[in-house]
Amino acid sequence: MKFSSRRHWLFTTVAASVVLAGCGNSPYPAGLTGQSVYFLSQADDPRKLDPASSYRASEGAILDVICSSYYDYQPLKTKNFQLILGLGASEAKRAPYTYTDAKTKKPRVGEQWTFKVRRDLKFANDACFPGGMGRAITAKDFIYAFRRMADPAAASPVQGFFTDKIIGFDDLIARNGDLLKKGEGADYKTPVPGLQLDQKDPYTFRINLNQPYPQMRYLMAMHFTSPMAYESVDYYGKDIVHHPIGCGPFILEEWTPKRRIVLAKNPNRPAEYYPSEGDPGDKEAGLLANAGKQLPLVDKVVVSNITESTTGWNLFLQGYMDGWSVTQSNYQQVVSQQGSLTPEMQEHGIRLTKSSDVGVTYFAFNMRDPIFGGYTTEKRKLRQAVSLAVNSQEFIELFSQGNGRAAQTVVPPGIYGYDPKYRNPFRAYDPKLTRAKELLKEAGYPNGLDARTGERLTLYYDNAKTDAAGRQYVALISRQIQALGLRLESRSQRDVVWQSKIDGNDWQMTDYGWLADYPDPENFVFLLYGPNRRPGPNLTGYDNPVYNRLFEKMRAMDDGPERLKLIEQMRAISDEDCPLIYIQNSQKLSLAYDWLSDFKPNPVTNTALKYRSVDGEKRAERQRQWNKPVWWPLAAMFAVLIAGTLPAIQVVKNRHRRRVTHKD
Amino acid sequence: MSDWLSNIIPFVIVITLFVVIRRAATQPLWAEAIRRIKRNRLALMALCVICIFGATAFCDSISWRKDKNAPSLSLIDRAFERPAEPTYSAPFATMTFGEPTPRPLLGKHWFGTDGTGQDVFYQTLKGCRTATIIGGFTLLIATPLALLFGMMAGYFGKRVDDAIQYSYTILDSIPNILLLVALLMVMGRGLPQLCIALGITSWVGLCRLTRGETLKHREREYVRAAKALGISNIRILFRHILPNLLPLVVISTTLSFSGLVLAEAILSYLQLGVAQGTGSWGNMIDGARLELAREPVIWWNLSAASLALFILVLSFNIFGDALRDAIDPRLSS
Repeated sequence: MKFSSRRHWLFTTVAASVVLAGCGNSPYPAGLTGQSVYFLSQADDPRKLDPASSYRASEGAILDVICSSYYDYQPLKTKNFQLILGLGASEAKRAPYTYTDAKTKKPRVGEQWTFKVRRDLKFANDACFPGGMGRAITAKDFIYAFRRMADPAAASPVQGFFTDKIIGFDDLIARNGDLLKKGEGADYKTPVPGLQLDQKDPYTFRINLNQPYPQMRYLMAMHFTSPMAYESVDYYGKDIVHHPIGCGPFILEEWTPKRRIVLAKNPNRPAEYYPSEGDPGDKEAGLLANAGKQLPLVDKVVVSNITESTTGWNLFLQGYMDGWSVTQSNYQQVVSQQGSLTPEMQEHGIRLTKSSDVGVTYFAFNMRDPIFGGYTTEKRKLRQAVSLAVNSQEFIELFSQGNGRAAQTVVPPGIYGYDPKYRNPFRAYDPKLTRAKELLKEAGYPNGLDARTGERLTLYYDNAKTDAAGRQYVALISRQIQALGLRLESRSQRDVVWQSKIDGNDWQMTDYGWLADYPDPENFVFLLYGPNRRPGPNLTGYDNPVYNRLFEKMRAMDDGPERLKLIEQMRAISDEDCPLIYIQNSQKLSLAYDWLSDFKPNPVTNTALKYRSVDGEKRAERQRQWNKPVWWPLAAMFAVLIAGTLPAIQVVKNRHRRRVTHKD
Repeated sequence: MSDWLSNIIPFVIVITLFVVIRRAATQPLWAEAIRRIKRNRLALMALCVICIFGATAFCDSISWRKDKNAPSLSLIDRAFERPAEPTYSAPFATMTFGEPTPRPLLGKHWFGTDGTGQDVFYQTLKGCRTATIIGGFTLLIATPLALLFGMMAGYFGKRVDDAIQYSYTILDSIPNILLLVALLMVMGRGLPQLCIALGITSWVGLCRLTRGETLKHREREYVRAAKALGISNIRILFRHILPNLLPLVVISTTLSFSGLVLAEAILSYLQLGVAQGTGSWGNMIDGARLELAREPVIWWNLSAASLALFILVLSFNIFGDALRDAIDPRLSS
């Protein structure tokens, strides 16, 4: 068919209109946002999703809803964290356990934990199982998960939690190490005295410890101890880190690194329900609206990897993200001077939730450093002086918009042993720095000058703060330290280089933080326990024998006045020695749309995804309202184009009309 | 480097520049070019602006300490020696910005203050020295390399030409930004490292130009005459050909100065620029990334750095064009 020029124009215009009308700004496939799908984002891209080795927060948030554990946390109990049964059929039983020490050959009393697993558990369907159908889970799969933590190929970061406690676990690690040197695979067969299967009941297993360890129950709520199918390890080999297979509420449907993770409802998930009780006031706040409903409440979860906060914020405002965090950049737009949500945000159907992290950030001194480390009175006074010169409040104001508490000691709020009235004598900031300067003088550095050499003392600050916000951070600490009379030299390196310097003990002062693995003070005070030094969690290498003895005593105790007394004694010792300068107990401000069911953030659990419900229709309707195409710029562009073309057309026409005239 | 030595360097540079210009003014070609520039008001204005930036960089390079333990402060540092403000403040404001309860400021700040309360005008002035060093020292590395290889390739031809052409073609085939990133990853962050990396990646253009010009001059009578008289190749190259290439070199370096200053800003944005604590416009622009996303927006940090960068680059471009026209008036049409 042959088009005339006019028809051609008409066809092109109609086709362009149809194509443009179909265009939208939605980053998702058409129709998806109207379904029961929860859209959220993560700035950090998970590197692996392996229960034995994943330790990053971004990995835990995904993995914990794929690989459930024996215990879980009651999500609504955030005042006193409470464990509930996950894959466990009954509460674990603790009993004294007598065994013969392999080295001394003498009888010792430890502790035996007996776990009974639910009988209705099945692994998610996967190609690693015969016929692609997930098989039943038994106690063997839990024991396999423990043994895998001793496998050097798995490189489990929490191996140390068990090495000195499970009887025979250290021998297993050593044996696996030897096998690795020979180029052989790890030993999964030789019996380990601390890891016992019940001979009669395939759903019962026992963990035998060489010491009482009440925190064992918390470790059974972490994904490291979730059941693992040996078939998956055999089938995927090294690639197992990209194929998490568990029996949680979700399965991994899609994982496109640096882009997207999609979780779908697991057809083999065990029955679990939304809790019907919470903290006082939760019912009135509507947090129990979904009580008794089977979990998960959404069919799918789409987690987008968004590294630029501006992009994420714009997607949230367009309704393409169900929730978002308040950051430095959007704080003033979101929070009014009274600290509540601004009217514009309220009109948009947005809800603001404030929550506290169970964690602490701090500057740390290397206790093995010849100048700032050590345990003499002078060294202690030197660290105390620096600690007194650091103003936490300025950090909180500048980097957290005033949201957060100035940390006083290592145990954060929400953890047993935290005392809101306690004030660390070396964290009391005085703008005149009177006491700090006195201590500096007593340490042998009057006005920051070395009394022996007359040289100004330099404090080297090793950090990975190379971005814009990081430079501000360094500038602030420099200013505070320089006010004391010391010179601060920042050594900023890339993250990997900095980490290797820290691990290699080649640093003087750095900054770090710790978030609760589990809600027990042991998980915080162990940061200063001598034997936990690198590669353990004790960054500073602090090693005070008195503190260590108290820790060992405290670790084995259940919460009570005696334990509290020990924690206070340890606090007094460590605050006096001052290996850490405590900065902040963070608070978080989160935003969510009203189509997403309200939910209380629980800082010690990563399973929030299964408790959220979404009104997809309401969301899709709002998205349509808020994202209508704006045509006028296109029309204006056309108008300008035409206006610019007209004179050119006139010029061409004039040229065509030109006639050669002959003058006589 | 001791204070006195670091203070001598800027004086040496300024004196050298002065002597070179005075000597050039005695030669007919340059005297005529200077006369033409003097008649070009725009070029004179651009030169004035460049001189102001240069003078600021000079003042920031002269530093000393009160006693051996005091920090070494430059003239610019001393002019702005005052307590830092608590946080952001807008230009000419009297109160802090963006705090639930604004606090009064300790002083006046023409360009406002940044998140840590540093005066933005002071930081902008500090950026002049970094820009000047990056432009100047990089050219000091790149220009001799380009001249040497370009003249050798053009004059000797054959295998020497092949080898040099082959080398710079390979170097030029690697995207500049990737090469810069790789070099800076190896050498680390810092002003000298940045100058070296930029020097290594920016000599090829001038080298090509020099090679072409040398090829032309090689066949001229004066070179043939020199050869016939038995003058050595080295002497022919540096005594006879090089002076004829200098106008081209001067124009090329003037125009590429602005490109190098811009490159620093781009590399700082990629967190590969100068080290922390070194005042630089690139670092200021990088820092403004987060500030631009804030609501209400904090614009003064970015504006100040961008304005300074724009003015310096524009001045160099205008002056470079004028210089080219002045040296070779045939090009101006």
